[in-house]
Amino acid sequence: MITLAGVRRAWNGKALLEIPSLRIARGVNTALVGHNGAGKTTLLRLLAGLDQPTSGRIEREVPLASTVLCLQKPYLFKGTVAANIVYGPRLRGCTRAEGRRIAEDQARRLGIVPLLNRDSRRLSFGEAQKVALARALACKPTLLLLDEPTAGLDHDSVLALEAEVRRFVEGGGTCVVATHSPEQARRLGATIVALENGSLAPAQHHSAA
Amino acid sequence: MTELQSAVWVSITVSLSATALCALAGLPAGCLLALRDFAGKRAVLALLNTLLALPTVVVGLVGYLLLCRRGPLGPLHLLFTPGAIVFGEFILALPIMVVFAHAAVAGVDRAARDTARTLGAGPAALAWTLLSEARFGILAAVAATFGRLVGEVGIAMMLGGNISGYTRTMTTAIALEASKGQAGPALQLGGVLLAIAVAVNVVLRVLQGQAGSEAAA
Amino acid sequence: MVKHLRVGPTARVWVTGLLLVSAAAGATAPPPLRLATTTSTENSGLLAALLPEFTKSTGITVHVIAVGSGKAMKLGENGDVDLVLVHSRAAEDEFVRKGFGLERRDVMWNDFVLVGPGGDPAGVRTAGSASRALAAIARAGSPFVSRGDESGTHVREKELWSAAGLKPSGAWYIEAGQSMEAVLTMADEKRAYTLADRGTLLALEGRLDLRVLCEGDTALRNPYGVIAVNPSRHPDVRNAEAMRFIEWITSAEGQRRIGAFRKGGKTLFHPQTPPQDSAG
Repeated sequence: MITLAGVRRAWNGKALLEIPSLRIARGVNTALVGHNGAGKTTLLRLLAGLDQPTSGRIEREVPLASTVLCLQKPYLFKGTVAANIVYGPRLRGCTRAEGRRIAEDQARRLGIVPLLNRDSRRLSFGEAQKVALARALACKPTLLLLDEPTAGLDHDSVLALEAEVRRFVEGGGTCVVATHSPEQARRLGATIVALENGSLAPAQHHSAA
Repeated sequence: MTELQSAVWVSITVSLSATALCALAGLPAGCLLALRDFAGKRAVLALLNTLLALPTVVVGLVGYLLLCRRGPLGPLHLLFTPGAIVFGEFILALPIMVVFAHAAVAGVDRAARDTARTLGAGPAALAWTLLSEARFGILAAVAATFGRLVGEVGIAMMLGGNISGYTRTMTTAIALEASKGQAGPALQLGGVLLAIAVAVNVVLRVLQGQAGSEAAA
Repeated sequence: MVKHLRVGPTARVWVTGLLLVSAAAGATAPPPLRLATTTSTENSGLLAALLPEFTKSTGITVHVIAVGSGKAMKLGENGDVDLVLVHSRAAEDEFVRKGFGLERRDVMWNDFVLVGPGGDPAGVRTAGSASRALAAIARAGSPFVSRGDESGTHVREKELWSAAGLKPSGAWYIEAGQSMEAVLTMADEKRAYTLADRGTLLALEGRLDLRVLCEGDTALRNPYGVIAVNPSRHPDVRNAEAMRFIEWITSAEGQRRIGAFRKGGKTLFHPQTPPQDSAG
């Protein structure tokens, strides 16, 4: 799906990430596990094409346009929750009616139907997380990148969200989830890629089965 | 239409037109400036900030040289028409609009940019999204621009010619009446102009208050 | 210079759009006749009274651009207006001589007067002629406010100083660079002398404490001339319409209306050409 070769990312002279070799497999869940500052977000941003590697190559088997990243701290645009969810589809030219349908659909899956007409500024952090995920899924991405998507959620919501992620992968999508919880990685049935201080944890050059 | 009504009408239509054109050109430009990095960007921003203080008489003079029959834009026959005032005021206000727009867009959370891009926004959609997120700052830019233009006199005088019923604005009419020693009509016009200035200022304060909270959000 | 800035095509679209909109805003009506004249002529209200009659009888709208004499002639020279109506004989003759204008026609005259404080410290009342009056003012060092703006009034003032063999300078000689009304107001405030056209003075009557101290000298006659801008220099001036205006204003009808114009019950302009040469 995506191959990284000799990738280095530095900012202001400080080396943030160094990945000699990594391959993200298609159709499975990959979990980036590590503490804060390990480089998970940096790697996700490179995969999302938001940042460019300082050196090295990233080869993609699918176009960047079908890759979507959910930020660790979700940014919701001004307007309603529904308007946020259909942001991607509207960019691709969907009609208002189609948009309404998509918004309702995604909202149902994530259990946030009552929030559809709410102003995006009046949401709790957990609610915002769900809206951000719904918004990403509405784009029907082939590669979904999630940066700590369940931080701050109550237990039931964590499970619900994880169920959505599993369903996405079962439907043929590829997912990379950054998490500091190995248990979550296991629940997601994910291949684990461990990061430590900007590098792959020792003795693990990963190529998923 | 009385002289007073005509002056008010000309002032408002001309300044609104110039403001609208400034918005069309300046908002995308300011957005672009906020989003792209290039060699000399600092210099461009410094230049724009200097241009904020362009004296209207200088713009009027340069505008005259451009628009007069012998000038490069002479064939357009704009001089001494309302269009010439629009032209000159556009030039005067463009730096204001660009600088404000730049500030507003640059003040939007970086995450907005990343989010829009990852969701598939191309350059145009990104610009539109950011301008929308910065909407109160943008509206403040528009209000400030209109306020500046409706009260200027140098450009209206030099490029419009202060023609009665045609290019006589509130400001040029006040200048004229004052020079004739006619305090009465001058004060009347001054009152209307002041009322407009106050209204614009109130709107501006409200918008900037909202903009403050939108930046903090 | 700017590497990643996408400016070219977008900028061109906007500039074109701006120019088109500006042009549209300016081109809505059939182009009117443009007349450049002096602020004092315009402020007298004569044109506001005359022009509607002209428009009624010919259908031609006239746009009046009122600036200083110098600027008015410059506008004519540049072809930014179709005709000029000024009162600066030497400059007018030069204008025609240089080919900027077709020919100069007499339209009307008014006169200048020397005004000053009632107490007349310089003794202008008894000076005998306008030039000698100015010399007296210079000798006394009494404050004098000049238009200082190359207007018809200013040019006449300079001619009078020249005739007196003087070049005025010093703290007493104040060059205002403003309209006749502004200069009169200033002279009134400072209790100074100044040269003014009778029309503007009459318009401000009642508001000033200045008195007329010297008048009637032929050197103070102020004739107005109208000149059509030369179409061979500027082919797109509205020459036919300009000639119609000149015909009209010099016709019996136009001349009658000029003489009939009153302000505060007084005649401001005299329709005949002056009987003798009026240059100072």
